[in-house]
Amino acid sequence: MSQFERDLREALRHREPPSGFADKVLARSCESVTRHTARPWLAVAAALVLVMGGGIFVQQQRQHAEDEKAKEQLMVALRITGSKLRNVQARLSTIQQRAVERQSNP
Amino acid sequence: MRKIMFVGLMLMAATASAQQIDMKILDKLAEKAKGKTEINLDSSMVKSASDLLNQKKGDEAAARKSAKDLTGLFLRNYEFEMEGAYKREDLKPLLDQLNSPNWTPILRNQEEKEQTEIWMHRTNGQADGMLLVSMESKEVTVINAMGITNIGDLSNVGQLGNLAGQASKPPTKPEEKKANDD
Repeated sequence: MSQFERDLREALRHREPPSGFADKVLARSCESVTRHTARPWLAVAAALVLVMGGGIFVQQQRQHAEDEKAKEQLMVALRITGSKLRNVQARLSTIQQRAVERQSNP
Repeated sequence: MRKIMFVGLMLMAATASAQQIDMKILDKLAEKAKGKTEINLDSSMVKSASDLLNQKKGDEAAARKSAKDLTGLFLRNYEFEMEGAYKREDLKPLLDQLNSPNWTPILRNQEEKEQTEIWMHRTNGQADGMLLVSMESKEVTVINAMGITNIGDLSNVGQLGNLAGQASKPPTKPEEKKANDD
């Protein structure tokens, strides 16, 4: 019998498990079942957090879009207002110019 | 204390509503218009919009400066396909709302096919609102800017010469303010 065969036989030799091994395995098995029953609650909590977070994010995005729209409207309104006021200013300048011309050429 | 706050809030609300012109009567013009721009920005919308304006961008920085006193901006602009699509009398109900001592005309410019009026709203002698009505042959524009103290602030030009100065002066007789092109 070679050394290799001896080592193999030794490695595969039947050994008795330590005392209480079966009880430990059963205890671990029960713990594992308890952990599994706790996971659905965690999943529900995570889903709630995700839904709430998503809702807040969507709300913020919607608010931002409304603010952007208001900004665009404000810019348009101010441009139109500025344009109208500049027209008035131009007309007043023309009137003033004509008055000056009349005074210089009576 | 609560009563004083309530009365104060009611007074503020009453002042704000006095500056605001009911523009629903212009809906009839909107039906006839081929192009229209209608903008309604209340105090909170003006504020949130102003907060988004970039101070480093020239145009937006100017707008931010213009809007600093604004508490509301309401605009109607209607373009018509042909002349005579509307009558100046159509705007009478709007101008009738200005029959209050708080509203003062600071400019009335009437030319052949064009009429422009600028009115300032004053509370305790202090300018706090403006209404601009521009009636052109194919276009009508009405702008109600609330909270504005100087109309020069609304123009990118920055200065409107005598016009801007008049807006901050106390009211005088309407005849003296009339600027007709004769």
